Amino acid sequence: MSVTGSASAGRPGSRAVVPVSVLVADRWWAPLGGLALVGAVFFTMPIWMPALGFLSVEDGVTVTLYTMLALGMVLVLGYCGQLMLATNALFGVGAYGLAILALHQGLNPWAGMAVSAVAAGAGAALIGVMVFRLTGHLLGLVTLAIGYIAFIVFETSPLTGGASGIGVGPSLSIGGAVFSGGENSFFYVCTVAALISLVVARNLVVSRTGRALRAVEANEAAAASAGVNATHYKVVAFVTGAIIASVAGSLYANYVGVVGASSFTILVTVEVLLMAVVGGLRSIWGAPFGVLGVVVFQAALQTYGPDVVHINSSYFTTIGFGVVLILVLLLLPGGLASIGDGLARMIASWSPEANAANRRISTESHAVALQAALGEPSTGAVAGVSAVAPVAPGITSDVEGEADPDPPCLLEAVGVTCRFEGLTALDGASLELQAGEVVGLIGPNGAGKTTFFNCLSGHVQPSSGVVRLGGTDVTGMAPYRIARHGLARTFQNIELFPDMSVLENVMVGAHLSAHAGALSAIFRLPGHWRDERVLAQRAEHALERVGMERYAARAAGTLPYGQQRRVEIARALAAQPHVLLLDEPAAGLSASEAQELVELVRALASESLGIVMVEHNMRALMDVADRVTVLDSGRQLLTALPDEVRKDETVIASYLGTSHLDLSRASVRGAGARPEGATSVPEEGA
Amino acid sequence: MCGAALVRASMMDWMPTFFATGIGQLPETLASGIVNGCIYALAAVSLLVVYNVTGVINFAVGDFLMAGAMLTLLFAGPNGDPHRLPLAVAVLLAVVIVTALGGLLELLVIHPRRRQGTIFLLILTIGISSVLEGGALIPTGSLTYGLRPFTSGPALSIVGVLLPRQDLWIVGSTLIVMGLLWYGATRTRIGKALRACEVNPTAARLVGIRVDRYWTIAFALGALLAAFAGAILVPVTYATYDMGIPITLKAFVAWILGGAESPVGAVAGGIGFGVLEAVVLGYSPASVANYGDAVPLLLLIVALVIRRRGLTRQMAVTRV
Repeated sequence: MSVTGSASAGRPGSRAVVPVSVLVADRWWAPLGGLALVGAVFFTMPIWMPALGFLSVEDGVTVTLYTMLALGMVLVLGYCGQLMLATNALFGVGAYGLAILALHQGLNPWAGMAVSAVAAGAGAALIGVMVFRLTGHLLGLVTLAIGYIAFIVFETSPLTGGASGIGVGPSLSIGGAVFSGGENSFFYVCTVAALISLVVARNLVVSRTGRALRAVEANEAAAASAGVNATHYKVVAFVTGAIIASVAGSLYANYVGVVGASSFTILVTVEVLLMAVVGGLRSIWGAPFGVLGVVVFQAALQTYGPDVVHINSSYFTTIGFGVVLILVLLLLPGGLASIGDGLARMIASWSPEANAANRRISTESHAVALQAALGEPSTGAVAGVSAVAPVAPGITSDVEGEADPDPPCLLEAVGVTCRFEGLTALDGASLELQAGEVVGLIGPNGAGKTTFFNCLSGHVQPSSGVVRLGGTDVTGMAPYRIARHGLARTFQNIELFPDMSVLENVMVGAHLSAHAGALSAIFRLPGHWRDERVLAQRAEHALERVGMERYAARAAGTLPYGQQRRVEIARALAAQPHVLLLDEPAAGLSASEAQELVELVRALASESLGIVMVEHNMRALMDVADRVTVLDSGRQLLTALPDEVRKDETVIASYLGTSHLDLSRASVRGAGARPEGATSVPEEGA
Repeated sequence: MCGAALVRASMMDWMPTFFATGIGQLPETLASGIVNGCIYALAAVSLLVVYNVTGVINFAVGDFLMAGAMLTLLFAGPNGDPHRLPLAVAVLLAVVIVTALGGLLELLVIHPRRRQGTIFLLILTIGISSVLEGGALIPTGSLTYGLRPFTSGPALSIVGVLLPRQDLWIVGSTLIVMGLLWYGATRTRIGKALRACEVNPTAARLVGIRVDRYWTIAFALGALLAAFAGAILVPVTYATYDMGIPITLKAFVAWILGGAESPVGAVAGGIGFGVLEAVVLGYSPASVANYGDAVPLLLLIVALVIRRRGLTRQMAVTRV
């Protein structure tokens, strides 16, 4: 048990192992490293590009502008998981907007750029609100159709000058300095714009908004249960990308002088998709290198291709793009960024301190996993629940007894029915939950327990019945709205955001306790920093309660099952809910871990939380529940005290299918050395 | 002329006169809509077959169609080149080659990553689309090609409606292909296995169907349908290397319009979209009809977004 000893000894000093404050600490200077690298490559393009022989400064302009387009793709597809293929349309809005405003309104090009960007942003918001209800691949094709329609409009409309295009008017200028297309000075304007876009995208991604985006990408249902309005964040990402793309379009118009439709074909969108994939869809810093790689590849192909095969060089581009897209996706799905990440990890592993910390974490988690597998009873607090005030078993009923005669009903469900195409999964279930009360929900598989939860949390719309939360009717509300009324939940099959760190997962859980939006993230306003601190503290506190603070830096998906359950509970707790729904929280826990869970639930109830808990581990459930509701085939058999339920003949019959097995056996059996946590009563009875 | 709506906007300088139809030509307008609709129907069923078995939206469907058209042209010889293969042989060869290509590309490109999410696979099919398009661009350049009708002669008059002969070929052969497809799906071993993979892949695997292999078969079958559509289409329109993406979009719209579930729905959606397109473009003023494809696509996107609830319910993947 030396492992146990070191783990429990490690608890007070856990911050030394993984200092949470450092994990979150994103300083204002943090993006400067990446910026310096990209800036060094970009600013020197006029020097090294001609030196290569097949590139010119014009390719440099292309790289900077397409970097901006690729950033939009990374934000929306990479971080938010939404396939939006209307890049060419947004690019075109910026270009034609500048040209048309200059021609017809005589607007200064800077003002034209700004107006176009606003128009693109507004259009993106409108389209986003309309189409984001569609699922992934439908969205891709619908937005591609939008891009195609935009191209036809650019090519046909008299306003855009039809096939012959439209002249742009005066070049961009500041004071006396004119940045016309052919000049090197204009290239530097584009570079600065690209670098600013990089910072904007990076700041957006590393923030409360960014976590919400990634949460939506990873698991929309779980994000909603934390109060994240998925559509809102998708639109935020899309609008940000649209504004950047539009500015790129305006710069492009200034660069070419005459805007023609052929620059805004669907091929542009495919090209940008390719660049984002090559750079790494999940990486802001990968984007510029993806663009650079594709542009260099294309130029090389066009220069040296005809030497090999004697055909018009521009004909190679399309097939080259297709082949590269497929090869990158097959061989290097993370793009160039995954190479960068690998290098960064290698460098980090050379630092002896980090090495030691890593090794310690992996040994500990290995030991814990091993212990869970063997079902060893733990003597110490393996990863103990820090129950704030250890509560005696009877205290909850005492609290109840002393409460005023008409205690407020936290959660009330009346006659909730849910039908799926003829199958009635839930038939008139009702529930009342007071503050400080724990209600157990049991029943055989398929009894409708999880459906009931889903109706309560809004993940499924009940066919009839009423759900009230703190007196408000929340029936049929979207999950993220119900979360705002103080309901948090966990899921039967753990629904974490696997690629995000444990801390980030729990910070998403605390989403609603902060308000910083996209603008304060992008401009790093004081509100952003304040909210980050609040969220990190809340998350840290929630992690301490479930004894998981040592794993804050780990990717949630890499944790063993039982620990993922704890993280999920911590995520729900971070919301500081009034009502907590726990769906099989003890599944996969060892006997001692289940006992810790019982203590945690008691402690939470003593803090006036109302808790509903679905659980097959009868011992844990009967220990902690004030009342137990029994469901069978969607119908509510009864709601009674645990002792009464235990003895009820109809419950035993329905739950076990036979009457001669005694349900109470499970609770009588002592806390022996056998692993019981993972085994449920019905399975034992079967 | 009835495939006119398939021609891209850039080639539409002659279209306003064609579309300036009077109300007296309604039967002809409807007929041309049905003919185009048959092409969309074949492509939509191609999408459907691939999607139902694999869950992948095959973005390259229009490019498989283009490949079928281009290869038919190559073998039969553009416009009256007498030194080429007989038409029937040319069509057959083209369809067989594209079918094999569809299966091969699935094996090489989709298969290694088939456990990835649908968006990932959709992006892979965008890659396939670029490869096919680029592959056609190199030998053909950006030129347009046409082919003689399968049978020559003046348009036939059927109950007073003038129908070009190739239109009859298109409608007739679409009917035959759909009939064969129905027979294959319900009466043959492979068809039944394909449908089993579609309904419940796990159960299909449990009864010994090698589901992975049927991914390849589904892509090959999808490519076959698209290639055949391309072969019968090429006499009424011009083939270009980049004709694929507009057709993919229209096939997709037709597929969704038909409910995205059954082949019957896809066929109905295809013909419905074809008729809608012909009527909208035929009876719009030239200033609107100039926008060609954009008009019906826009209408349908609006419709799709309005009735999105129905669609998303069908296609949403419940995650809780």
